[in-house]
Amino acid sequence: MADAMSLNGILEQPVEELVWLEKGRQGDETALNYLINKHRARLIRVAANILRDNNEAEDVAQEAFIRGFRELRNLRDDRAFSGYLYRIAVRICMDRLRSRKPQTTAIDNGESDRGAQVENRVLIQKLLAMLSPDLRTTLVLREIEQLSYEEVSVVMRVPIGTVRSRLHAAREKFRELWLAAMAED
Amino acid sequence: MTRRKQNAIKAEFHDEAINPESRSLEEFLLTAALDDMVVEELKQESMCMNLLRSTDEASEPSAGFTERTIRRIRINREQSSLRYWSPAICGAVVAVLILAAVLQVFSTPEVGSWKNPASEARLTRDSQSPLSHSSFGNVDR
Repeated sequence: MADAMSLNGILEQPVEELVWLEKGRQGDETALNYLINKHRARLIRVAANILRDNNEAEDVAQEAFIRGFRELRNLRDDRAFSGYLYRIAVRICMDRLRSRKPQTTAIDNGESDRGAQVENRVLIQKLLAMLSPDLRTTLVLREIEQLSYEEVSVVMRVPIGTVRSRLHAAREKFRELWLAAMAED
Repeated sequence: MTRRKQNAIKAEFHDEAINPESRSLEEFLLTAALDDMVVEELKQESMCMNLLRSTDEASEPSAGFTERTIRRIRINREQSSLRYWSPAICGAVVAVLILAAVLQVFSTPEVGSWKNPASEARLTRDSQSPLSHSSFGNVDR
């Protein structure tokens, strides 16, 4: 698996943050404030995209910061802090998805949606809810977060080949679900 | 062309589609020799992925998010600290209690009639045994 340090994008860390990180490690709240403000938008965004629930996404981001700062001593290279937080957030999202009751029932657009155009957002939320946590997370990280295969592989701790096969399966499944939803509508 | 190879070409299109400057599906299909069924699947998948990308959740953090997070971090640290020190605190409390009990035992003035000479029962020659007046005493004699 590729080393987190060698990857670009989400996993690279600006050098000026290292000072704040060192201060944050010592419990300096100004540093924590800076680091949270710097990374919160990205964590909330990825959690919201995976979970499709903004309130839960904030909760996930907070939990990711708590775990991240608590286990900061386990971080071997401070330059990987951004990716480290991101990975924690994705893992928390996957744990939450796994603990949710799987939705296997047919799509019900509800009385309010009958005769009207189905809201894309609601439809996507329902389709995603019917994918397994692994397929759903892989699809969101690749298609919405636009991570490379290597980055998805690092974040989800699976080989690149697994990322490719999961993406293929996720697209197929998503398409089938979408067709079923359109047929019912 | 095998199905596996066609799937690889589909994946190639999806990889390209993430880039905003990518070719359109029609342009892509001109260069890719795919079966009609695979082309149809690719069109549907492309539509689905566009739909998915269009629902990007760009939510802003609510007011006070940072303060709430720092407060939770602080509480978490205090809880961790308490968890870390609680065995030592419990041990110290038990040790103090034992020490207090030992000190109590050794510092308490000796009480009890057996240690007090004034109340010590002594058998003197002149005194008579209480049994001598009893019926049991008489029987013995």
